[in-house]
Amino acid sequence: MMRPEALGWLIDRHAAALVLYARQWCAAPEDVVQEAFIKLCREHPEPDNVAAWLHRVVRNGALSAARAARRRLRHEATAAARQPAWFEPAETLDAATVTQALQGLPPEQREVIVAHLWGGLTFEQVAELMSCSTSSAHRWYSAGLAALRERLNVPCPK
Amino acid sequence: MNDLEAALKALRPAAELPRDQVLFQAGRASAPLRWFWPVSTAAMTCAALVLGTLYLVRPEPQPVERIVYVTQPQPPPPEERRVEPPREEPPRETPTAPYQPTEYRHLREQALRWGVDSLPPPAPLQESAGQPQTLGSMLDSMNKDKGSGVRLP
Repeated sequence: MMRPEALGWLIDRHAAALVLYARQWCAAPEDVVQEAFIKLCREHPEPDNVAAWLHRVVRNGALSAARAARRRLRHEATAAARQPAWFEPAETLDAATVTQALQGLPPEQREVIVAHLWGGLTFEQVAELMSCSTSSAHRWYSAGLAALRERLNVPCPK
Repeated sequence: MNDLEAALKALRPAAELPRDQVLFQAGRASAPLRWFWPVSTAAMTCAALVLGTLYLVRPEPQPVERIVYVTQPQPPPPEERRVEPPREEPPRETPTAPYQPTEYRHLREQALRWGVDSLPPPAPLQESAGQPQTLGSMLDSMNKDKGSGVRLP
């Protein structure tokens, strides 16, 4: 049984990234992440890599929630307009602009970037999560970063 | 990690996850399920409802008529009176009752009741009263009675 301190640390460490990860597919990512943590407490024994396990559970839950929501909502544009910002306001980059740029990426590129940058997963773990090869994950990541750089007007480093 | 990656990573994902609620739900979910008391409570509640329903809708008990023949006990016949014969009181003893030398008790009661003077005179001795008995005569008489050849010195 997982101790409350360990669970609290995991929530503080991964909850926000998991919410961002789930937000790519569903409109209520907090519910999906909450269910993932509850499911983690029921796991006996605990998974070896908790972060990768949480991302997988959140991914499956978010996809299921997206399918259910798609049946309910007829107008995707209305639903997209209600979506809150993906990031908290920051000084370096505009959160709304980054959100729009991420939303405009192809799904596999966006998923790799979110899982690697904010989720902290390695490319091997991302590849296992997405059921693809490591090189494919790395290639999608590089392509996504290039697209973001272009959309955010960030010059290439010399 | 280049500058874009660092800038993107510096962005904090907006998350409104209720931390305390997640901890509470997770702790509740991790507790082992105990089915005994809920199941037993539900079973007993169902049993109580069924019994209460049966009690409310049960039919009125119908009286059962039975004819029971009871034989009346016959009074006992009158007992015949016994006619006891009148008691005959023993005759009063008088000092003049016939003397029986073997009855010591009778003599004793008579002496206590009427005094020593009321006792009858002792029976006369068989031997001649004139001659006093000697040891030799007594031995002779004893040897004569037994008829044996034993002789005392």
